[in-house]
Amino acid sequence: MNRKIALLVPVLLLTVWICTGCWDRREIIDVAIVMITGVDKGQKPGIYRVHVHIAEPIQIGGPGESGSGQKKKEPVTHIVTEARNIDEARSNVERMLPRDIVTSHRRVYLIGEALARQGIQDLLDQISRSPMNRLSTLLVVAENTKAEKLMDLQVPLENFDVELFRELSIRKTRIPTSLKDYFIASTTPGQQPIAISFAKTKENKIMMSGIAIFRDNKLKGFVKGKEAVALTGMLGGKTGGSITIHLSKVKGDLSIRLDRLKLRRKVAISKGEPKFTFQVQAVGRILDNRTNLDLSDPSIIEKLNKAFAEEMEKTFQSLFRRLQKDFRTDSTGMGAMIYKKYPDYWKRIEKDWPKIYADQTIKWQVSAKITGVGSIGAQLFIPENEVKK
Amino acid sequence: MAQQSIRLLNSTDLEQFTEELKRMLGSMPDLVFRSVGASLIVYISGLADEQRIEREIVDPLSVNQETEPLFIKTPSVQLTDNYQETVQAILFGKAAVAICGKDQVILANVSASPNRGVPEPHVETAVLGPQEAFSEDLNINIALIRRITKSEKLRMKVWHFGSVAHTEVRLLYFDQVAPDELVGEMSKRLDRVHLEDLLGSNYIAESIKDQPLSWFPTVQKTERPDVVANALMKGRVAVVVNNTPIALLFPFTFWNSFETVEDIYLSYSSATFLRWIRAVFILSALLLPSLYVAITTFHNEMLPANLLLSIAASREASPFPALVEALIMESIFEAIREAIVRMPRVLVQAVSVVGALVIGQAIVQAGIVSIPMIIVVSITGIASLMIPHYETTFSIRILRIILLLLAGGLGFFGIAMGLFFTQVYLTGLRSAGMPYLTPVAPFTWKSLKNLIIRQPFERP
Repeated sequence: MNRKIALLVPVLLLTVWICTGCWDRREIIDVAIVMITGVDKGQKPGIYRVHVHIAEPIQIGGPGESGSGQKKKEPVTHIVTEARNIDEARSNVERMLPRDIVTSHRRVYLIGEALARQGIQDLLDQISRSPMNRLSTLLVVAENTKAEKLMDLQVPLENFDVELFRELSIRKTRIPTSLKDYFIASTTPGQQPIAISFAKTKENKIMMSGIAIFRDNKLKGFVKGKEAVALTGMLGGKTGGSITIHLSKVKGDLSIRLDRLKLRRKVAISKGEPKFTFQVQAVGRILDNRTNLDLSDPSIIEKLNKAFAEEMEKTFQSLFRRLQKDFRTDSTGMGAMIYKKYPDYWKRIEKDWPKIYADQTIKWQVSAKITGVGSIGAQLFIPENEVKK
Repeated sequence: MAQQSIRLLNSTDLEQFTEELKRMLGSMPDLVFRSVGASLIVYISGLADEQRIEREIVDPLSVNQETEPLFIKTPSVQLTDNYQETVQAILFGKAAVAICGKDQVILANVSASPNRGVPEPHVETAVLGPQEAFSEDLNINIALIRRITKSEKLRMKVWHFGSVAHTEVRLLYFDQVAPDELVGEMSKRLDRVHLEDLLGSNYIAESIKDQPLSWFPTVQKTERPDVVANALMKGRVAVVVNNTPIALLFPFTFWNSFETVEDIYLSYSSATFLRWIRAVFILSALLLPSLYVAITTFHNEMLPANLLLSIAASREASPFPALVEALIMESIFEAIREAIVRMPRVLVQAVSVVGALVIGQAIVQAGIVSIPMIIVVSITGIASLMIPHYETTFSIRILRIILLLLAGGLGFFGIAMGLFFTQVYLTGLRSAGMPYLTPVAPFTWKSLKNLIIRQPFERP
C-alpha cells in the first residue's frame, strides 16, 4: 500500500508536465537578443525614439562554415521605432522581428543628451520593473549628440558596441553606474546620481568624454577633463588622468599619471553649521618629463610633490566650484555624510540642503606623493652639464 | 536399485556395479572403466587427471595382492556405499575405486577440470596493483583469497544448488569481524534460495539481494581477489559461486560504487585527487546533458552573452529542438558503446574510428546536430566511463535519460524534481540491511572522512 502511494506521487507530479506541455520553453533560435537600447527625444514632444540593436548569431560564425566575405557585415541588426513610452516601443519592435525579444542580455542603456536634460524618470520604471531586465544594466549618456548617432558608429576591436561602452565604463573608471547604483544614489539622502557620458569625436569614433551629473533625474551638466578625474577618484573609482605640473623658474612642465587618490572626508557641526574637511593624498608617477630636471634627485622630487599637491588642490576646488555653483548638485554625497553622522541635524536641514549646499566651504588638506619616475632620471638626450640638479 | 548399498564381495558384484553405473550415467565414451587386478577404477576422462590416477591409484594397486596390503596414494579420499554418492563423485571428477572383497567404494579426489589458471582482470584494472582475477574454478578462487589473507578467522559456509547443476556456493566471512546479524541474515537468505539452473553468480545475486527490482545495484560484483580480501577484512561478507569468476560482496553502499581498487595502491594525495575528479565527472555524467538542455531552452538568461551567442550561432544550423538533438546523440552514443562491447576484438579499432570521426563529424557538417551538443555528449560519455563499478553505469545512464526528458519538459524544475525523487528513493534503499547512503544518510562523521579523502594509512 505504501509502495503504491509512493509510486503515485511522482506520477501525479509528472502529469504536470503532460498537461502543461513544455511551458516556458524558448529555443535559442526563437529568441532575439537585445544588446543595447538607445533612447532619444522623438520628433514631436512626448514621443520617444528608441533604437535597438539585435544580435545576429549567424554573423558571428556558425559550425565549420566561415562566412566568406560576410564577416564585414556587422553582427547586429538595427531597429528604430517611435512611440509614446518604452513599452509601446517594445511592442512596435516585436512587430518587426520574427523572433521574441529578450532583454536579459542588454547591458547598456544609452540616453541622448536632450532627453536626459528633459528628465528620465519615465524611463526608469520600465527598466526596473520588467523581470527580464537586469539592474546591472549600465546607464550612460550621449553627450552633445543623439544616442542613435552614437550607436551607428563602428567600434574598434569588439564585435558589438555594447562591449565598448561597458568596458570603458568598467575598466577605465571603475565606477560603472549600473541602474542599481543609480537607484542607490537617488535614494540616499543627500546624494545625487551620476552617469558616464560618451561623445563622438571628429573622426566619428566614440570616446568617453566625462561624467554626467544628474539632479532629480534631470541632466544638469558634464564634468570633464581633470575635474572628471578628481570626481572619479572621489567616488572611489580608478583615476587614469594626466596632471601637468611645473616648477617656478624652470622651463617646461611634467606630466604625472595619477594612480590613486586616498580620500578621507570628515564633517563636523560647529555653531549649527556643517564644516567639511577633506584630506586627500594623491599618489602618482611621473611618466613624461619635459624639463631638464634630474628626477633621481630626492630634493627635486620634494619640490615636485609640493607642486603636485597644489595642482591637485586647484583641481578639486575647481571641481567643487562646478558642482556647487554651476550645477548646484551634490554628486559626491556631502549631504549623505551629514546624514550618516548627524541624523538629527540632517532631519532639520534636509529640505534646505539643495540651497545651502552651494554655500558650503570645504577645507582641503592635500598632500601628494610621487612614487615613481619611470626608468630613467633625467632626459637622456641632453648633455650632462645642462641637467639641473 | 540406486539406493541400494553396494556390496563388492566377489567379481559378480563388480559386474553388477559396472552395469548399474552404466545404467545411471549412460555408456558415455568419456566414462572409463579400468580394471587393475581385482579392482575397478571408474572415472570420467577430462574431469579426472589420468596421470594422477596412474600414479596414485593404478600403480599401488598393481602390486601383488596376495603379499602386500592394498593402498592408494591419493591424499583426499572418501568412502561410500551407495550409488548416488558414487555417481555424483564421478561427475565431480573423482575416481571411484571398487576393490573386490571390500564392501565400500573409495572415492579418490583426482579431479583436474580444465580451467584458465589465474587470469588477468579485464574490467577492474589497476595500474599499480596486483593483476590477478578470479577464474571459474571455485577452488582456485578460494585459494586466491586464502593466499592474500592468511587469517585464521576466515570461515566458509557451503551450499549446493540445483539437482541438475550441483553448483557449489560458499559464503565467506571473518569470524568476529563481520557482524553476526549480517552473517545470519545472508545465511538465511541463501537457505531460502530454490534454484534449479544456476548458470552464474547473478542468479544468486538476484535471489538474495535486498531489492532485486531496483535500478541501483545493491550488491557489489567483483572479479578481483584483493577486493574481496579487503572487503572481508572490513567486515563484509562474500559469496563465491562455482563456474563464475564474479564474487558477490555484501553490503554495498552507493559510495562504494565510486571507489576503485586502485585507491589503496596509490598514495593518499593521488587517491584523494582521483576520487574528487571522479565525483565531479560522475555528477556531470548524470547531469550535463540535462543542464545543457534546460539552460539553453528555459533559462538562457543564465549564460553570459558571448557564450549564448556562440551557442545560438551553432544552433542556427540545426533543425531540431535541443531535447531532440540530445536524445539523438545519446542514443547514437549508447549504440556505439554497446556495439564496441559486443563486436570481435579485432574490429574495435575500425569501428571506433567510424563511430567517432565519421558519425560525429558528418552529423555536424550535415547540420543535423549542433557542435555544443556533440561536445556535451562526448564529455558525458567519457565521464560515464569513469564509473568504476560496472553495474552503476547502467543506473546512471538510465537516470540520465529520464532527467533529460524532465529537463526538456520542465527545465530546472524538472531536474530538481527528478533529483529529489532519486534522492528520496536512494535514501530508502537498503543493501543487506544497511541503508544505501551510509555514511551520508545516517550521518557518521568518522566514516565520512574516509569518503571525502582517502585517509592516509600511517600518520607520521
